[in-house]
Parts: sequence; C-alpha cells; structure tokens
Amino acid sequence: MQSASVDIVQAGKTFGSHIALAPIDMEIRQGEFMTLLGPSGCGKSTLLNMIAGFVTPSSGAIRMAGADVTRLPPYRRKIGMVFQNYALFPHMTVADNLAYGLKMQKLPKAEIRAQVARTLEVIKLTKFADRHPRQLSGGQQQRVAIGRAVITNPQVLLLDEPLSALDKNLRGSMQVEIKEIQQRLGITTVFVTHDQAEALSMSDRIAVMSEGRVRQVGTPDEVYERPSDGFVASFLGDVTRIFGRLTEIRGGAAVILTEAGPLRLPEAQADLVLGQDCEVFIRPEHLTLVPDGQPAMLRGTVAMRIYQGGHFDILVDHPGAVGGHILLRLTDREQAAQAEPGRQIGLHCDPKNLRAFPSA
Amino acid sequence: MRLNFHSIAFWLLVSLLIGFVLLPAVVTAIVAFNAGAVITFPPKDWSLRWFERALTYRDFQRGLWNSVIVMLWTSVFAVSIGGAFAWVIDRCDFPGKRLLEGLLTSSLLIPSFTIGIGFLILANQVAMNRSFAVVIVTHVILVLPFVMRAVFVSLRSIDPSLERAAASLGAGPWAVLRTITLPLMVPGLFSGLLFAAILSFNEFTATLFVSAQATQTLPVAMYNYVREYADPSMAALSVMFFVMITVVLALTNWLMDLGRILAIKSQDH
Repeated sequence: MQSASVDIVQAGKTFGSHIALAPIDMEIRQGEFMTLLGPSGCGKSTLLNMIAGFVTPSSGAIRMAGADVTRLPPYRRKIGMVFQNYALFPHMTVADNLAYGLKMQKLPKAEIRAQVARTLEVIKLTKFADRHPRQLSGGQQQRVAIGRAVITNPQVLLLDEPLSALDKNLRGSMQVEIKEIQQRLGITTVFVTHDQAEALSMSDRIAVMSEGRVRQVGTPDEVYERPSDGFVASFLGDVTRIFGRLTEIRGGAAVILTEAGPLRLPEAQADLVLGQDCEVFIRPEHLTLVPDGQPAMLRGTVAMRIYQGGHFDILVDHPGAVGGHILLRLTDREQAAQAEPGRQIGLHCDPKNLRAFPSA
Repeated sequence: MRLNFHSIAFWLLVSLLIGFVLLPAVVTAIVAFNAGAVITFPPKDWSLRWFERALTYRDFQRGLWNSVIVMLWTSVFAVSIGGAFAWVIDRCDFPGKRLLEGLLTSSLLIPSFTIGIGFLILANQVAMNRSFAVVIVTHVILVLPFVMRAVFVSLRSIDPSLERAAASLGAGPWAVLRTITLPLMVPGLFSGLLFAAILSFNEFTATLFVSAQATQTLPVAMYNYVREYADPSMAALSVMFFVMITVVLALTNWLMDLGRILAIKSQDH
C-alpha cells in the first residue's frame, strides 16, 4: 500500500466548553516524519487520536491521500499505531501479536506466516516468536509494537509517545531504530512527544503546540533557529531570557533597553511595537567569552561551572535575566577554565542570533 | 519471642477470632459422628450411621440432584446475562445506563423472601409454579449483582489501549470483543461463575417459596427434614458440604494458577 499524505482542514475538538484543540490546518506530506511537540494538555494527543479515528473532530475534516476519512472508524482507516505502553496483547505470543492485523485482513495462512517471519527478522526477535509479551524487556516489547504497526503496510504510522517508558540509553537506540524503519518503508509518520530533543533529532518537520494551538510548523532547524514566538523559543532547547523594552527602531535595527544596557538586533528579529515590554532570547551556544579589558555585550560573575562531559554549562549571575542567570555553553576546555566561579566575565552574542518577543 | 502483655493480648484475640469462626464447624463435625439418635455433645459413642442415613435418604438424594441442576443452569445464565450486561454498561454509552445497572443489581437491596414471594405469585399466574424454570430465574436474579461485580472488576483491569490497538489493526467492534476483550475477561467470568454456583447452591430463603415438592433443592430438603427429625444426619450432611466446597475451592485455586501459566491473566509487572 502506498503511504499517504494527511491533510487536516480546520479540524478542532471541544469537550463541552473546554477547547482541547482549536481548529487547525496542517498538511503532512507523503513519506514525511512529522512530530507533534508540546507539553501535556497541549492537544497533541487529541490531534493524533483524530488522525487515528479515536476522536471525532467537532469541526473540520481529515483527509488521507486526498480521501475524506473524518467519519471513518479507526478499523477502516489504513493506519498503524504504536502506543505509549505498547498495548501488546498479553494473551498472545509475539508471533500472534504480529499476525493480528494480517488475520483481520483475512490473508491466507501461508502468507501471514511468511510476513510474520520477515517482520521478526526486521525487529530482530525471531528467537522470541513464541514468547508472551510479559517475558520480553521494554525495548523488545517496543520493537514488537512497531513491527505489529507496520506489518500491514499502513498508509500512515502513528506513534503516541512510544519512547517515554524506556530508560535514557535505550531511548537513544530506539530513536535510531524507529527512524531507520520509517525511512526504509518511506511511510508517512506522525510522532507525538513532549521531549524536544527527541523531536529535533527524529523529525522532518515539527509542529510545536501549546494550549490547543499550533504555534509553529517547520523543520527542526527552523523551529530551533527561527522560533516564531517566545513559547517555541523556550520550549526547544535551553535559552536565556533578558527583560527589556523596545525603545527605538533605526536603520533596520531595533534597540532594546535592558538592565545590561541597550541591545541592538535586526528589526526583523523583533516582533514588537515601539515601547513594548519584551524578552530577548539568547541560546547558550551563541554566547562567547570576551577577553578581559575589551567591550562586552553582557557582563556578570560566574556563579557555577557544570561539567557535562562533552561541554561545560556556565551560569553567570545577571539581574536582568529571567531566573537571575545567563546560561553559557563552552566546549573548549581552556575557555571553560577561564570561567572560574566568582570571576567577572564579559560575554558577546552576534546580533543575528538574538531574538526578541513580547513578554508573556 | 518475649512475652509481654501486648503480644499475649494479641495472640489471645487471634485465637478467639479463629475459634469463633471455626467453632461451629468443629462442633458440627464432631456431632456428625454421634452413634445415638439424639444430638449430644460430646458424643458418647461413635459411628458413621448418620452419614449413611444422609446419603441414602431419598429427599436428600433428590434435593442434591435438584440443587446441582439449578446450580448449573443458574451459573450459565447468570454469567452469560451478567457478562453481557456488564460489558454493555462498562463499554457503551446510552441514556438510562445507570438505571439499567441499578435494576440489575437491585436484588441486593430487596429481601430474598420478597423476591421469592414475588416469583411465586408470578409463577402461579402462568402455571409454572412446579417447574425448575421459576427456581432458576429466581436464583439468576439473586446472583446477578455478584456476577456483574466480578465481571466489572476484570473489565476495568483491561487496558483500554489494547482494544484501541486492535481497532487500529483493522478489527471491527465484534472482532475486538471476540479476540481481545472476551479472552481477557475469562478470569472475571470464571470468578463470576464460581460466585453464581456457590450462592445458588447455598440459597434457601427465596427457594423455599418458589420450589415445589419435585423441585426442592438440598437446603430446602434439609429444612423440611429438620422440622420433623432432630438427629445428627444434618451434621453429617454439613460435613459433606464443607468437604465438597473445600475441594471446589482448591480446584479453583489450581485452575486459576493454570490461568496465569496460560497468560489469560493480564500482565503483572
């Protein structure tokens, strides 16, 4: 079966007076890995369940490969789904779990057996075919769940926080495995997660959601480097926010007065009106140390130096920053050695990497 | 172990409780081996004659047979009806759902003799008062709340995402019920069956009203016997009851463990 594009047309969901999902438009392209990212209660699961058919939209429509499926029950949509707790059938063996979808399609027994054998090989569980799910480790259960979801060649693969129950090491390798299977099959995939690192590393595009709305849709690079609002900027990756007010726009540059003095950035990066209270967002990896005695954009005293293995996180006291600290990330050990706790340091950030958004 | 006041008081209380629970059974068991025709405790002479009497007395033989018939039909009907309604109430949404649940469990609140009299009058109206049907219907009504409770518990322990997973794999509502829900309900249905069987076998109050000479169950036959005789055959019967129920429970325990091995029970990790 050909994998399909998914079009969400003004689809929304209300429960009584509660708006779980404000009407949204979203186009998920054929073969694309789309991640719905947001904190719990942001509507991402509602949207996924709408695509699956478990939730009927209060308004709007959902199309798969151009065909309207809004009123179609889940078992008539050609989907594969992986659940947070895997939802493997406890009374069936691994092989029977895998065969379930094929049996529902009433395929000949010999063909089912062949396909199950093939899938067992792909998920590297051939030896475990006759085990029951509870006799498997978390990672193995996860692989069965993925195998069961893709064995029927669905048009769309839906993943509902499939990695959140795994420990950190396993999560990393499962990310790779899921991505590999998805790319080999070229299957349109919708992935729900609240983990921004997962979203950034796996997705073709990310839809960042909060409070029932889509804040931004874009490639991982776009949403990380060019966030459309303060929520997106602070939800993805680490960020330092500095309070300020837009005081002047001159020659394509916006001047924001902060506790640390005026900060200048390209006008296009400040979505503000004159006089508006705002926050300036700075990524930790965009900040560099300024040699002593030279002019710096920001100054402060090093409060803490945290060793993270591959890099150092440096917290610099600054009264104008939200939380009272500026976060700086250094990979160079010699530079990090200079950022001794208690020492006064100067910091610089290229203005093209600064973003300013209205205060929340 | 150091004996102080607290531990002595504790063990005294435990012994009292055990004694309180077991004493009637122990006394009855001892009395059953009485040789005399009058119940005396402790017995002066010992014999098995009252076991023989209980086993050969025609009304008891008949009563046991009737009880088994009623118990089997009651269990089958109660589990089918109770299981179906429990599923409908738990998984479907419709107006009057709470009312239906209330109706099906109302026999918990209505005294057994009221139900007995009610069915007696109804059965008379349709000239069914001498049939097993009225006894079985009465028993089904009485055990239904317990069966439904047992099924509800097992239904609610089924992870709803299992049914969703089945649906996402192309299984329609009936296929989901047949391949997922029903197999996972087996422990609940089984304990419901056990409830139904034991309660039906022990039921007396309502049965007294709805049974006729030909359909009287063992408890009713025993009641009728006691009204005329006061010999230890009752005690002998009690011992046999006790042994039988112990055997059934032991068997069940063994079967339930089997269920775990067959992975009928849900995952426990």
